[in-house]
Amino acid sequence: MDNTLIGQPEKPLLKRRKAKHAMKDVVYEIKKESRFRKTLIIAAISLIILVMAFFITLIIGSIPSFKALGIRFLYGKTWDPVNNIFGAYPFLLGTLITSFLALIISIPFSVSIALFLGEYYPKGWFSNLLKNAIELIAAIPSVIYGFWGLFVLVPIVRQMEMKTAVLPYGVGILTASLILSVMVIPYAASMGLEIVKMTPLKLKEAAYSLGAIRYEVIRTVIFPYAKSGLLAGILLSLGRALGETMAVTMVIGNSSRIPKNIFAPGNTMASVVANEFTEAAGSVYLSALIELGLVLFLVTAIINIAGKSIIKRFSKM
Amino acid sequence: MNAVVIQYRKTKSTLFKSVVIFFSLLCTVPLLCILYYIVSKGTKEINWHFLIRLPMPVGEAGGGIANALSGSVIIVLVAAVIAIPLGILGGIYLSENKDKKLAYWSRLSADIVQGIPSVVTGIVVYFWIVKPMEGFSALSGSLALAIMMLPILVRITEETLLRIPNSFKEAALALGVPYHRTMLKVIVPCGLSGILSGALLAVARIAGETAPLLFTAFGNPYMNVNIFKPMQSLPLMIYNYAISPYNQWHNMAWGAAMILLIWILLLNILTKLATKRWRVQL
Amino acid sequence: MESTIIKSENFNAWFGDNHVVKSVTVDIPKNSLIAVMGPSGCGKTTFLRCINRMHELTLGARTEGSVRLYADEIYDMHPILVRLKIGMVFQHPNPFPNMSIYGNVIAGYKLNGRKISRSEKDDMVEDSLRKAALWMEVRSTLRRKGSFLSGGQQQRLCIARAIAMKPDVLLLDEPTSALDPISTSSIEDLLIELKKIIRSS
Repeated sequence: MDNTLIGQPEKPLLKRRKAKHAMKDVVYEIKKESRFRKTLIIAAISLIILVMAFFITLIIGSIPSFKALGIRFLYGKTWDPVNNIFGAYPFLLGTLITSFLALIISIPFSVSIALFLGEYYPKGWFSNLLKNAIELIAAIPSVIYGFWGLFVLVPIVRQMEMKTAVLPYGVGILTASLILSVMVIPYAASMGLEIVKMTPLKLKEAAYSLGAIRYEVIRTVIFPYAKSGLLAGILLSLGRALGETMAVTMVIGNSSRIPKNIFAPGNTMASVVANEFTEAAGSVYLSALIELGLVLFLVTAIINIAGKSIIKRFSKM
Repeated sequence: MNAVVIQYRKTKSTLFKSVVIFFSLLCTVPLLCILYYIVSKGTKEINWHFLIRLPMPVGEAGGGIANALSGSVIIVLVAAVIAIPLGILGGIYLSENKDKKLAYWSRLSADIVQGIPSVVTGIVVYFWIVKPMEGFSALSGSLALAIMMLPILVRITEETLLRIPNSFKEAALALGVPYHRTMLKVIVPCGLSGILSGALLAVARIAGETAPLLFTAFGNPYMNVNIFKPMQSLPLMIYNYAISPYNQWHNMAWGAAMILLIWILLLNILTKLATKRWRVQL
Repeated sequence: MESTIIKSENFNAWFGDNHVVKSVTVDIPKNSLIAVMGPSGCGKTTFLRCINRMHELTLGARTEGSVRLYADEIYDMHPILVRLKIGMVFQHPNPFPNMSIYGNVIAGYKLNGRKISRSEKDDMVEDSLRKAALWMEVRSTLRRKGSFLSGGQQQRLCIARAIAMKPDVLLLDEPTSALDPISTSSIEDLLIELKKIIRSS
């Protein structure tokens, strides 16, 4: 190998020794390089393994419950661990009602925020203030929401209930939904904001040039354009609401009966698991709780995949 | 077009705008209410003793949250140590191999993990660590939190690195620099502000998590720094004290809530600073 | 064959189905400055990138035929070795934004983890910057970030960075195409000077 390198050909001896040394370094570096590439692949694979391991762990954990209860588990109306009767219907219902109620309450707020930040005030101190407020809402831990709900919101709801004909529990589905709706707003709003911002300027300009005013542009251009994106945003916030645990468990009343109305105490799947997991005696009891976890896992996974794929398709448009 | 119609349309538009502003501002009401409650109740509790003393039995005044505070810091730090390297490596892979099959599947997996309810993560880690080791431990809590951090880190690293022009990678490789040094010494430093703020954001997100700790770190009324033993943490303590029947414990929980909130806010502010301060001019 | 440094025989390159470089056979003599010319899109850049195997970064690129550096087949060597011996300067100036001017010049050593003494480093930086005709302009600002320089200065910094590695061959992929006329002429002068000083390209 010729070692006439650019530069100082007058010192060949020294150069050659150095080159030899460098050669050894290079071989070592090449080894490290391929090890690094493998590490990257392992890191990427570990994410996939993580999901599969979650799935397998939950399946194995639910086998005793599958065997003992079968499909009856999902529509059984009684949950009575003392007598070994496990029907998850009250919790399925409780989860669905609280989540949907929370979503319905939060939609006007999140759509307003999305329009406020995306259309009316995209810049300036006013929008910065609101942006920071929304980030703060997202940053507050759910246990603090639950704590606040328990000591502030529950008495307020109880006062309201006293004035009407329902039993004044204070805790219950409605209180849980109210707390959840506050917690969901930042997710739904940030999703909505991205989608509102994606509306092509060309479409808006075309509408303005035809003499449309702000409100008409929003109603006839932005909303129709952003329809599927908003659907995805709602789906993803639903996924969050379904799995929310601490805030809900502290204000929902933790009752295993089927709630008669939205003021009655109830329970959600996540909340039951959080409450009863550590004290579950008996393999079927524990397994039934794990099966609730499995249902939650599958539902949120499907919702997330669906929501993300809608958004991906939307952003490619 | 006559003037009445135009006037009507204009009024409708203004009305709609007012409704939007009204709803937007309305959602700051619960936020302000929560902050007001925590600050007004919390400041009464917080003093130096509150931070450095251990909890007292019910009825005795002067208890503190030293065990919960130290426990929270340890659990979160261990979680960060587990998750940050793996998350960054995963993010590098995704940004470097955008169109590979493996990248598609691991991106999908990251999305799924991000959506998993935290209580389910708690169950799974219970079976992975707590059951085989026959006891609750801080380590298992850290693992649960690390799993929740991972997808945030992966996606933020990926997005940050994708924004760095390819030409820097080419420049380094053309100098004969091996791939791993190129990535770790040129590309990652160029995206440092983004990755750092992502890591801080991920820490801020999990610092207040309670549900996955219920059946992993479990809580502990005593001081403990051994990560193989049950450990108290701030969110756990707030939960346990809040649902207790004692007024004194409720007050302590408000104090702890304020400390937790301050901690998380500081992390959020740091995140913002990191984005500005360590930005490399591309 | 002592006088030939690069010898390509029947060399072909594809991007996917796109046949970009079609059977190139060329001998490049040692100590010479060779220009490859042609209309845009004819494969000049691709051919250059194939010589130090940068094309492998592009998905779906593949080659056929042989390129030799002295007697060694480039495609039998590890890309790191090839790139240590064959330096490259790109169309757009790309100094590392996270390093100072000083750091950029010795980046090849620093990033490769080679330990060199302080004085050697200083010598190398001064020497390379002098060869790249940049020394007089930046000698007082060596610790500033490279991205603060003007486009032409950045490109000369990139040349200094490449020659600091003392490669056997230096590939220059239209280094002036992204620059203004004044910077262009200064870089052209620089290349002629470089040829005089080191009598190799």
